[in-house]
Parts: sequence; structure tokens; C-alpha cells
Amino acid sequence: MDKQHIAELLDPAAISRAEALGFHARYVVEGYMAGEHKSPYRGFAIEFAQHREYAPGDDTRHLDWKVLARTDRYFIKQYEQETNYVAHILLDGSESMQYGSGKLTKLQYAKMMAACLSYLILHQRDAVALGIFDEQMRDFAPRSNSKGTIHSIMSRLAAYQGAHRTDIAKTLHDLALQLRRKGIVIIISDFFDEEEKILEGIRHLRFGGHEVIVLHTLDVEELEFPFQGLVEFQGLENLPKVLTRPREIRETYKKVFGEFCTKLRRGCERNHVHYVQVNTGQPLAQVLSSYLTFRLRTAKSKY
Amino acid sequence: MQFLNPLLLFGLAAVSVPIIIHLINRRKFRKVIWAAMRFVQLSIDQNQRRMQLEDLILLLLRCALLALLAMALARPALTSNSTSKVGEAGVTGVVVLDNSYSMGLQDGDKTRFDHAKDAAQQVLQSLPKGSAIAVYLASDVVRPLIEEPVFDTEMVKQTLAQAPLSDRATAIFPAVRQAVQSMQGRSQLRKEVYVITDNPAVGWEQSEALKTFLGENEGRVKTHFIIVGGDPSVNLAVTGLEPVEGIVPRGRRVRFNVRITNFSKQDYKNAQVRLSAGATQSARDELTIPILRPGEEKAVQLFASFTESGPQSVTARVVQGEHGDRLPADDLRTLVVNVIEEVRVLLVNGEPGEEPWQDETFFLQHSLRPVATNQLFYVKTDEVRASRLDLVNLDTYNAVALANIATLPPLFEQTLTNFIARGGGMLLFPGKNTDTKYHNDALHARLGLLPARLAPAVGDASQDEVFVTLQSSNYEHEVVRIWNDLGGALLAGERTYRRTPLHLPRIVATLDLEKTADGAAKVRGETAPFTGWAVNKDATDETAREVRYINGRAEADGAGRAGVRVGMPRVVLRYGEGLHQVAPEDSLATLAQLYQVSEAALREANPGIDWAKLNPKQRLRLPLGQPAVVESAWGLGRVYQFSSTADVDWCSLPASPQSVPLLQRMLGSMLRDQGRELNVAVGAPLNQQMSRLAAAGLLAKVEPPQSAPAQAEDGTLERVGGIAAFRYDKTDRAGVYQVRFEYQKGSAVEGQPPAPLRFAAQADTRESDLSPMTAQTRQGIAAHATVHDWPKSALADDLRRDRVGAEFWLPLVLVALVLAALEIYLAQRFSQPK
Repeated sequence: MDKQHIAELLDPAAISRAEALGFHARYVVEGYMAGEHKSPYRGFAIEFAQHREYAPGDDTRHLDWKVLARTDRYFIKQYEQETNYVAHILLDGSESMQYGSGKLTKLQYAKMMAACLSYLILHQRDAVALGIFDEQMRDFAPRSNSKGTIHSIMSRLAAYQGAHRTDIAKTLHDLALQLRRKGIVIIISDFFDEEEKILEGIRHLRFGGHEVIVLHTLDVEELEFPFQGLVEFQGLENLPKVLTRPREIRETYKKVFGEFCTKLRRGCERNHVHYVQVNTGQPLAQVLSSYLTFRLRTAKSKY
Repeated sequence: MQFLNPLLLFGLAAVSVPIIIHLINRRKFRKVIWAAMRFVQLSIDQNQRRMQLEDLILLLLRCALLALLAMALARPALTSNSTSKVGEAGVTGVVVLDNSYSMGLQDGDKTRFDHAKDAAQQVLQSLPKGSAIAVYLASDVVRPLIEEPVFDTEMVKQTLAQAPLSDRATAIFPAVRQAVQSMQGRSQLRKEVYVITDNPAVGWEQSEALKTFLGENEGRVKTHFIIVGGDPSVNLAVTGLEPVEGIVPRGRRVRFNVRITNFSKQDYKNAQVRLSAGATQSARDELTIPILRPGEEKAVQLFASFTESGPQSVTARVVQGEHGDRLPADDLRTLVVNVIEEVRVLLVNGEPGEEPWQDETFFLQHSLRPVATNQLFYVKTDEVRASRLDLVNLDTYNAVALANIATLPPLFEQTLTNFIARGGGMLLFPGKNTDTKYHNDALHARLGLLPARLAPAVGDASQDEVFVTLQSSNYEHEVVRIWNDLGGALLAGERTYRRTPLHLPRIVATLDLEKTADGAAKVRGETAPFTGWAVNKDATDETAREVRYINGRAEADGAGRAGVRVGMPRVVLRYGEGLHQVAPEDSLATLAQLYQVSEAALREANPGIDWAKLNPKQRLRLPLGQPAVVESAWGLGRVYQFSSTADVDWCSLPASPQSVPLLQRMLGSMLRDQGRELNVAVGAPLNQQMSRLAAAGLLAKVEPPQSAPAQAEDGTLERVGGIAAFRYDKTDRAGVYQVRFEYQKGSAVEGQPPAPLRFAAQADTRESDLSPMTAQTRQGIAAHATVHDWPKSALADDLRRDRVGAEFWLPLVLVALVLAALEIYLAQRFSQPK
């Protein structure tokens, strides 16, 4: 399935389950619709969240006078702000993403994931920008909060065919320099690149105040390495061929691969980046809903 | 180290199989287009050395496994290592047990044969596990009891225990040769032949051939001789028994000649000899020989009489004298004689005289019937004049004697040839009436009746100074052999004044003949085609032993003689030394031709004679060997041809008492031809023509000597060319064999079966000579084989010690199994995910 039909990019099950959960920003983001306010509290979407007992040093401006008057106790009024944000979805379209053991390649799965997320975000009237990259940015859909943008995004996704090597770090650095406003950067990739450099790029984005979500998209065979007999591995991205008996190196492979994933995960965690390992063998609905559930939970606990 | 199946070493090529499989498998792999190459490469880099090492270990293991299996199949063996711990090879061997009758010698409370069996058991005990043994019984024939080596030692033990003794003679070499040859070509490491025998020199006659043969096979087959029995002991044997007259009539005392030989090293005193006759063995005659010198053979005459006619047995026995005798087998000798009621002989008188005593046949008649005219005698003679031969019917006669006949009437020629062809006997005497040309042309050349051609008569019967005598020793023909014992002087004293020299056909060895271009045979070095007889003593086919050639062509049996087979002429009696009165025309050459002697012999007999100038009236000594009497078989009958007269006109023999046994024995030999072959050597087959066996459904039951009627064996009845014959070849024991005939149940033939038959087998007397083989013979054999003396307590140990060599295919297989197990384990372990 080299060329995915546009309609197949949106998984109805994934959409229906994810829609209910929504995609919320974890950090303060700069909603472009609110103009150029410095303080987020002045944004248009401030909503009361809860009361907290006053502690010395708190800004008295936030005292709830009504409560003070009624109960003679000092409570600080806390607000939860809602703002619109720009989600930059970065899709790794390199050749390595072409691998797939099941019906879908990683790229196809990633495209579906990107489409579903885009739909979700646009549906919340937040803006989405889509970038497809390998060594460099190959395609870029500028931010838009119009619901109709989804068609443009899906067309771009469907039309894209990866055929090059990856350079994730460069893409992230470039993006970090380009983005002026804090937003959410969702990176969908197998990250088959040097993890240090990748983490460097992520750090750069985080430094710019962006929330970064890493959706580490992997095929089940890449995780399990289940091959038997004598196998010649022909490398994507122009890597040389290797003939070996996978059974005899399976444990080593899993160990090495596990170390790679762990390193990536640790690096993400250190930078407060959500790292989600996506197994293309699992249904997209399940993957998205479980992450969004987790995200919802962590978002709430944060405030 | 050597390999017993070296061809299987090609199996070592199988070592390449794992390598080939490895290379083939490298070409068969699955292709996967893979993204996470970095991790695969990293994993491989981490495992590369280990995987290569594991691969190498497995490859080496598999190659080694196959190499070991190939080597094991090739059966490697060490010949030098006698105390090998790696495993003892089984022996494949043959036990050759001598069962000749000398093995029946009593040695203590056991016979040599019993000792031999004990030795054989020791041999079996010495064998390592997995040995296979065959058992041969050896005498003058080799009889396999277990032909192919078997692993069942119990069976071998039983077979050995039940092995029978025979009355055959020993011949070691053929047995060893057959046993060793049966081992050749076998792939076993240890091939051994155990010959258990005694040591009489006669059994080792072919020791030179044996030595050469053993030398040739020394490295391949190990031969052990286990010699049973030590020094020879006292042995006295009956070495001969025959009726003196050749004819055994019923109801008369018949003289038998019994020869006793002392095979001991010391004198044997007072050996008692006993002769008993008939089925009951009741009638006995006994005689004691006062002394027999070592090696001496003495002949004694004993009498027996028979109350029944037909085949009867007579047994001569030495009753142990004061020295005892430990070999009982040769202490008696049994003969079956055909006891007859009467013999009828027709005397044809070619020169009737005025007085009866002047008749040509007068002496003949009295020699054949040496009793008074009115006395009953078993020989009955009738006389007929030659002129009345046309009227004669020969059917009722056993023999016909032609004395001084000129010619035979054509009708009688036919009658006579029919008579002889059917088995009748003929005696022919020349005389002054004899028509030499007729005899030579008709009777000799045309009919082949006469074995020799007549030459013109020589000598002068009118004087009594110049004569020839008969031979005085070395009587070879069976008819006259008895004079070896009776004393040659008895015959040699008879004088012959005139005679017709008998010219026998030339007799040469077949080897001396060669073929000319046109296929005719001629004697090497001569040009004329060969006429005469060619003798090949080694021919296995009886008819090929003596072949008659006429003008270079081998004559088919009876060609031109109405299907009658003519036997080769044999000289019965020769003239001994004599004198020759030189005639003016005589020369060395003519005399040599006349007397059929070589010129050299004549020169030797007459030293100092000037042969160029022979002096008439001079007397020459003749070293004669010229035949006086010759005979040949003709059809089923026999013809005796004399060179001098039947009366005393030309010679003195007819008037001599010696002519009685001579003619009687001739008559006996004719009767035996007419009768049956009743005596065979032990081991020889009996062939008996049986006219009445032509009827189908007849069974023959043979009772061997010393066996009960229940143990009777089946004889063979065969029909060849319309002639039925009874055949029996299991004549292993000496003694009397009884044959009964009966019709099979349900047979179409009714009536009385043929009368029972009786025949006897006589052992080879040479076996009685127990003198041991020479030390030289023994040394010669010991050079190429191991010689053990029994009894020997440590025989089994000695045999074990002597056995060298070990096969170690088993350890190789065990190592291969260990390697196989290791390979499976490692392959499993190495392929675990890592």
C-alpha cells in the first residue's frame, strides 16, 4: 500500500474515541487568536478552576473577596486558562519509515496518526501546522485553524512518498529557530538516527518553550526481531546488506534496541517531553486514546 | 595399522558433506528489507566472533563424525599390538579334525580321536567373543561338517563331539589347502586354521607342497597344527586278503592269501591270524606267525569254505599277540567274494591228437579241472573241435578257450563277439596251426578282440637248450600278483622254447602328444600320425584316462566295433631273462625289434660282444620284458592272449602246477567282470549295474558296517542310458555293507525285489604305518605355522598369546557417538537466542 487513499487516513474508531478526550496543551501556550498578550491570564479564555488557602507571598489580587467576606478566611482564587495553540506535527517521512511487517508501514501508520491528531486539534479550533521531513523539510502545511484545512493536510499526507535518509536533529533545530510562539510540537518518527543529536534538537525546542511530544513509531518486528533461519537484511536508507541468523543475535538485538529506546525515553523525560512508543501492530484508536487519557490525567494533575 | 575394508576409506570423502551443505545453505536465505540496520549491525558486531567460532566448532564436529564413521566402516586394525585394550577382534577360523583311522589309536583310556576332540574344545575356549568357526573333517577327502564359519559355539561344540571316525587314510595337505583357501578373501583380521591331526609320516607326504603353500599364506591366515599322540606304538595290521585261486566255489575249502605287516619298531612274536567266512563267521582257520621283524610283511595262506553261493564276506583278523595292539581298526580286513556254484568253460581244440593227452586242450582241461574226471568240481569243461564251431552255442558258458586255432568260421566270429561283449571270457593260445594273418587282420585289427598283434613265431621247440623263462619278480597284474607272495621262482622256472611275440600297440603319455595342422595327433618329435594308446593318469574322467588313437584320431568308444568299449591292453606276465641263438641275419637292431627291448638294454646284458660281427651259434643273453600274456577288456568281457601254446609243444608252463592257480585266477577275474564289483577302497563309490532295477519304484537300503538295520541309509538308484545302476558313495567305514532292495509302497511293480547285495570296503593299508614324520618335516612346517603337541594343559593360553591384532572400529564408533551427542547438544545450545 504505497499510496494511501485520503479517506483511509482518518481512522473512524480512533477519531471517535479521541474526540471525547480532546487534545489539550500541557503548558502555557501562546494563542495567536488572543493577540500579543504577555500574560496568559489575560487571555480570553480564563476559567475558574479552584480555591487554595492563601499563603504569605501570594498576590493579594487573587484573593477571593467574596469568600473572605462570608467566611473570614483567605482563599486564593485559582483559574484554569484555556487558550488556543498551534500544534506542529512533524512527520518523519524518511525511507526507514517505509518498513512494515503487517498491513501498514510505519509511514502509513504515522500518516494516519498525523491525520487523526490534525483532525482532533482542528476540531477543537486549535491550529495545526504539518511538516514532513527527512534530511530536510520536504513539505510544510502552514498553520491553520480552519476545519477545512484537514483536507489540505490529508492530501499532503497521502501524496507524500518517503525516499531519503533521516536527519531529525537538523529538522528540529531548524524548526526551533523558526517557531516564534510557544506551541506543541508532535514528532512522529522511528528516530533511527543518533539519539544524542535527536535529544539535542528536542532540547532546543523545549528551550523555546514548546511542549514536545515524541511518538516513537516502531514496527512490531523491529521490537521483537522474530526472524528464523538465515536472513539477508537489506538496509533501507542505503545501508549495506547483512547476512545472519537472527535467532542467534535476537537477544543482543533486543538489548541494543531496548537501550536505544530507553535512552530516548530517558532523554525525553529529562526534558519533560512525553515519550510514547507506538507499536504499529496495535490499533491506532487504542494508541491514541490511551495516550490522550494519560495526557488528560497528567494535565489535570499539573494544575 | 591396516584397514580390513580399505575400499570404504573412500567414505572419508563424506567429510566434505557438511561443508557442501553449509555452502548450499548459504545460498538459501530469506531477504528482508530492513530499517533498523544499525541495531542488527551492532548485534552482529557483538556476536560475530562467537558465531564464527560456534560455526567452526560445529563444522569440525560434523566432519570429524563422518570421518570417524568412515574409518570405522573401513575396519581399522592393528596387527602389532597383542595386548590391545581397545578391543579384541573375533577370530574367523576352521577347525580341521583328522578322522582317519589312525586316529582310532588307543592312547591311555582314550583314542587319539577323543584327544583331538578335547584339543578342539580347548581351541574353542581360547576364542575371543564374536568368533566364528567352521568344522572340516579331514582324511583323504575333506568333508565340511560346518562349511561356513558360524558364531554359535555351542553348535560347533556339539558338532565336534558327534564327529565320526572313518576308516579313511590321512592326507593333510588337501585339507589344509581347502581350509586356508576358504579363509582367503574374507575381510576379517584374524583368520586362523587349526589342524588337529596325528603325526604318521604317511599323512604328511606332501609336506613340501604344504610348506610352500603355508609360506605363501603365512601373513594372511594363521595356521596351527595340533599334533595328537606321541611315539608310535606297537601295531600289527592285516594289509592284504585275497583268494589265491581267484574263484571261490561253494562248499569247497578255498585258499586265501592273508598278508600281515608289523609296523612296530620291534619284533612281534606269536601273532595269531584268524580267517572266518560267511555271515556267521563261524568257520575259522587259524595260524600263528612265530615272529615278524619290524616292518616285515608276511603272507600266510588260510582256508575258508562257504555254504551259500552269492556275495559272502570273509574276514581276516590278527588276534593280539603278546605285544598287544592299540590300533584296532587295521587288525581286521574284510572281503566280499562272489561264491559261485560252477564255472563252465568251453575248450576249443585246434589240434586234436590221437590220444587224449595229445589233444591241444589236454593240459588246459586238467589245469582248469585239477581233479579226477568223475569227481565233482566247480569248474566244468566241454571240449569241441575247431571244425565244429559253427554249431556251438556259447550261452551256457562263462568262458571259452581257443587253443591253436587257424581261423574262426564267420558265424562263430559273430557268436564269439556277442558272447564276450555280454561279459564272457576268452583265453587264446597260439600254436603251429595259428593263421597269423587272420589273427592280426580279423581278430586284432578288425574286431579288436586281441589286444596284441602276433609276430611270426620265434624259437626252436625241437631243442631244449635255448629257451626263455618267465619273469621272476615284480608281478604287477592282479592275476599274477599273488606270486609276489608265493615266490617268483615257481613261475620263473618254466621254460618257453618257441613263441609268437606279442606286439602291443604303442602306449604313450597324453602329454607327449601334440596336434598337427590338420588336427591329427602325433608324438612330439615324430612326423607320422599316432596310432596306439595315450594314457593320462590325472584325468578325472574315467574314459579320458586311456584313449585309443588310430592314425592320429582319437577313437570314440567302440567305434567300428558294434558299440563295444575296448580296454587298453595290459601285460599280465612277461618273459624274464633268456638266451638267443644268433642266426646269420641277426643284428642288434633286428634283435631289439624282435624282442621289443632297447638296444642299450641288449648291450648292457651282453658286455664284451662285438655287435658289428655277430658270431652265429653265439648265445646272447636277453634282458627280456617281452609280454608272455596280455589281456584287455572287451565290452563287458575280458580276453587273455598267450604267446605260447596251451599244450607242452612249445613251453613247459601248461604242465606246471603253477598253471592251475594262474588259469583259475584268470577265470576268477573273468567271473568278477561277469559278476559284480564287490570290493571298493574306503571312500570310493560303489557302482553296480542292476538289470532288474530298470523297474521304477525300487528303494535301496544300505546298512553300513557296525550299524543296526534301523540305521540303514538310502542308496541311490539311477538310470543312465537305459542301464539302471545302484550307487553308494558313503563308504567311510571299512567292513561289510548290506544292501536290501524293496519296492516303494504303491509301486506298480509286483513280485520279489532283487536279492540283497553285499559289498565290502577296505581301508588304505598305508595308514597303518604309524612311524612319525621326520624332524625335518616338522621343522619345515613349524617355519610357517605353529605346531603344538597335545596333550598340553595350556593350549588355550598359548593360542590366546599367539593371537595378535586388534580391530578398533568399536572405539571409533563410540567416539563418533559421543561426537554426535556433543554436536546435537552444541547445535541446540548455539542456536539459542543470544
